[in-house]
Amino acid sequence: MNRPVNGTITGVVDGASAGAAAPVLVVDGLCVEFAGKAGWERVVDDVSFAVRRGETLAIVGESGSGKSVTSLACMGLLPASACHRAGRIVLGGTDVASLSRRQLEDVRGDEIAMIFQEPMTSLDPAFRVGDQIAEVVRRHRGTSWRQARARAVEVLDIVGIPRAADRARSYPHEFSGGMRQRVMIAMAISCEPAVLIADEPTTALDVTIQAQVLDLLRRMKAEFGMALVLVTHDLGVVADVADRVAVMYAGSMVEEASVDDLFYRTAHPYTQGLLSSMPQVHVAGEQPYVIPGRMPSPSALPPGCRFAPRCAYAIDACDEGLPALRRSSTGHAARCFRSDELELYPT
Amino acid sequence: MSSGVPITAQPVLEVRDLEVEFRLRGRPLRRGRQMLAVNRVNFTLERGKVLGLVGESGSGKSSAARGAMRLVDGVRGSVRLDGVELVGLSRRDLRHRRRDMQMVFQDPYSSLDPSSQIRDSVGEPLIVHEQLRGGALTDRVAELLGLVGLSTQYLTRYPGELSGGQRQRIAIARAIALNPKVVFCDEAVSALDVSTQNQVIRLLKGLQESLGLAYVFITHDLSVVRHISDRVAVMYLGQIVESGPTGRIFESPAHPYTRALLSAALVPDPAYQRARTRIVLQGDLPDPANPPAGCSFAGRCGDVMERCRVEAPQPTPVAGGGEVACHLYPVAVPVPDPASAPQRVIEAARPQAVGLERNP
Repeated sequence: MNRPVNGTITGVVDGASAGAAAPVLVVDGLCVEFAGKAGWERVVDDVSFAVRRGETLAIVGESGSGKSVTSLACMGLLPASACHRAGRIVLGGTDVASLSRRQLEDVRGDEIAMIFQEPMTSLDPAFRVGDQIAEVVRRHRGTSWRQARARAVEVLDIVGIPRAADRARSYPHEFSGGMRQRVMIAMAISCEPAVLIADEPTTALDVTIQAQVLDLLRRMKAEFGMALVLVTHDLGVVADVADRVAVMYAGSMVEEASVDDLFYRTAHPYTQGLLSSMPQVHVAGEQPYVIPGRMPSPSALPPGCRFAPRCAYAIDACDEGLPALRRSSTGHAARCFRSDELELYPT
Repeated sequence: MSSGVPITAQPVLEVRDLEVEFRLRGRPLRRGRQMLAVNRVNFTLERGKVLGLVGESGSGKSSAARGAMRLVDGVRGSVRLDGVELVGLSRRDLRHRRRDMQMVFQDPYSSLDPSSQIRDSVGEPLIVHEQLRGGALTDRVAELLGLVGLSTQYLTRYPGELSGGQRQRIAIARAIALNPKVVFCDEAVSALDVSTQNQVIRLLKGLQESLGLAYVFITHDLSVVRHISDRVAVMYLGQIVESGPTGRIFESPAHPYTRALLSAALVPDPAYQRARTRIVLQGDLPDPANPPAGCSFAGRCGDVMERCRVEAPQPTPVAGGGEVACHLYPVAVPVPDPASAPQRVIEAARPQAVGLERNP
């Protein structure tokens, strides 16, 4: 177990290691539009973030906030019906948009990998899991089947599957939900990607299994220096594993900060509302908090700040123009006209 | 109903030694095997109260609810609704009784007919049980929509036009249409976003007070249970391993499984998450079709003893209320001071504190 990885981590990271803190994934001004009933609807609007080696960035939001579309864009996995209007996605110094389809396939699974909420839909039920992992290794490393299978057993062992050599010959349905998610993680790390995107990786799992999988992700990050982008709606998961957090609302990023700044020095009223809404296992409460109103759909965005119609602190200016994402000297960014004057502690 | 006892003192639902057995589909070498999904489960639901039934997938919490409602075959034991025994009732009598007991499921998309208008979906139980027709039916459905916070414009909508939260409100409207006494909520808020989830919890709380409903709230989400329940029962592999008042369960959990479950529940507070001691359980739930001998949790338990692998523990009372089935708590021999003695037992048996106080 825990054998050192053979060879270099990846060329991408090596290229970036000149400046040790250079980010491995940079998303800069990303805009994504889908064709809607009334023309193009912007579902992701001007989203920017960067992730460094060994860092976990959590992208938080409710359904419809654009968090999953953002992560799919990073993987170059958006459907053809989507229109990638603006912005750059730079993976280890290379603009993903400049890559041909073939080159993109080389990168995907090798330098950037993704795991999803429901592992059963990502695994082929007709093939043994060891062979599915070996196929990824062969595609990217060009090794023999024998070597690729050995690597599959090795990564299954790393993610904590007991009797990995035997289990590599099992089919996906023979694993429990938590074990299947481990298989997905094993497949994702088989080529030692610089970046792992995990979209709600534990949402479908029971709490005790969730704890196991989060521990595993933490270990992978520490041992292989992987950058982790964790897409989730669960602020408990965020508090547990994230270093930095980006909060998304109605397609735009409303706040980005270190995990402590976000929870203890909240700068955006929506983040405050989200924090107050979380039911907490160690606090008995009568009435859970509800943010009034609903998230606007991309076809009916308010003219000013997207959160203004639901915001308790809104002033006239908030209805007139969209505030810019302003970053403080401590690196805490918020898209709110009043973030300097408001004292937002989760209520 | 039973003579002599004042109606308010009698629990609305009493489940004794409930067992639900499923027949496994015949595979070549294991034809005709049976699986005990629910094993001697006891619980009592007081009028207008909420019982949280907690457990992970495969723990039998949904089967226990379906067994109590007699929605499945292979039910043994006793289920008394308002003093009337349901096990052994004929199909016909059961149908009359069922109007007092309703269920709300996790995914309203699969429990509402996509090709029926909301008026018909919510009105169906009223047509069947109360023979309402025409204007009276529409009025009653409109009233029910009002109770769940939806306007009459939804009468002619289809489920596909509604959001997840609205669909769940419709499912609740249908469940309360016949003024039931007990509503089983099976992961009723688990698929919803937090803000929608909180709205539905508020709605359920409000209906509990205004209509005097009692809920059996089935979920894997401990934080939701803490908010809504008066009592909690924790299930593991078909059995209730611990039960008691919500405060006691969360503040001083007795069973090692309950402690692990609470320690695995994430708290949205980074400093707290970094500081807490966590118990990470190894492995998965054992195969319910092939349960281990002795205590079903023995294989994953950090406090396992020789005795656990051979002898199944029996429920014993816990200080602070409720019962636990675990050999760490020997069946009580008469103790001089009943208030303090069992407390010592609990403290001695807690090797790792699960510190549930919030960090400053």
